[in-house]
Amino acid sequence: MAKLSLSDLREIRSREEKNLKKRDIHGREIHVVVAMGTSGINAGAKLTLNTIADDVEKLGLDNVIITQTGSAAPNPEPVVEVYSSKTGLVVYGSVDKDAAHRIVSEHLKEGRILEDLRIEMQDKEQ
Amino acid sequence: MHDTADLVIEAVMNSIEAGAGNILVTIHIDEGMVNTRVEDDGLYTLIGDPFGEGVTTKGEGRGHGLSIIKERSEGRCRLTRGDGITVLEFTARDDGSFNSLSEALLPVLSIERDMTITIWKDGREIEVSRSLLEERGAVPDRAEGIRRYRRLLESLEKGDIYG
Repeated sequence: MAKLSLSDLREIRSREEKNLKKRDIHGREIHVVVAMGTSGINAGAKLTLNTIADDVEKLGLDNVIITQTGSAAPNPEPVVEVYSSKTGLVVYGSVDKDAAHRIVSEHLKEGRILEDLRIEMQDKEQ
Repeated sequence: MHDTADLVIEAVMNSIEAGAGNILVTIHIDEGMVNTRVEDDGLYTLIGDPFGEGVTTKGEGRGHGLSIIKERSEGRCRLTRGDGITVLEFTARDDGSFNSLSEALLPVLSIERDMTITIWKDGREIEVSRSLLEERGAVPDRAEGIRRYRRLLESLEKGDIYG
């Protein structure tokens, strides 16, 4: 096996770092999770999910994947989690329609965290 | 406050939490009422009244979905089990929450599960399945899929294409 030079190693490292940044859920860079348990649905999570889906489609954000999870109680619902390699995991609470619009236009599109909507996630009830 | 379409989401989530691999949903909208039937092949371990508040096999703080279905359907609901199939049926008022089928069904059809939904609405039968969405690249979990999903549901409602 041929020895690798320092420049070869740097090239491999650079390439793998790029690949790592791109790696995510199904090849998407940003993963959005909407909590759709009973308490979330009761608080309007269906509208939240549809608003996020509509805006992601309208803005053509091809780097976003949207999925669902169960109840996020006792956190203030609807709860939306956003994960990206750039901003890490950010959790938003009480995400109504207006908040959902903002999350898409500011966080998903611009990469700017909305501190006024951000919550510290408490352990979900099992 | 749950609308009637939310009750269908609750029923499907209940099937998923029971470990169902295959879910069949039939929704009949007529004369101001919505009749829903959800069949699944999940586990059934409940004892007693499954619609009781807090009755669950899933732990503390759960078990409210079926009690909400009972409340919103004003008791017109039942859960039966036979031959490995669980059937949940309920009737609730048509509150307009199915006026936009694509919005009403997006939460359930974006779930990665073998699922078929048949809807009778305005004298027309519409059938949409997860496999149909996958086949047409219309799974509503990403921008292009959402675009195709909306178009597909609109076409199915108009009768331009058939599921």
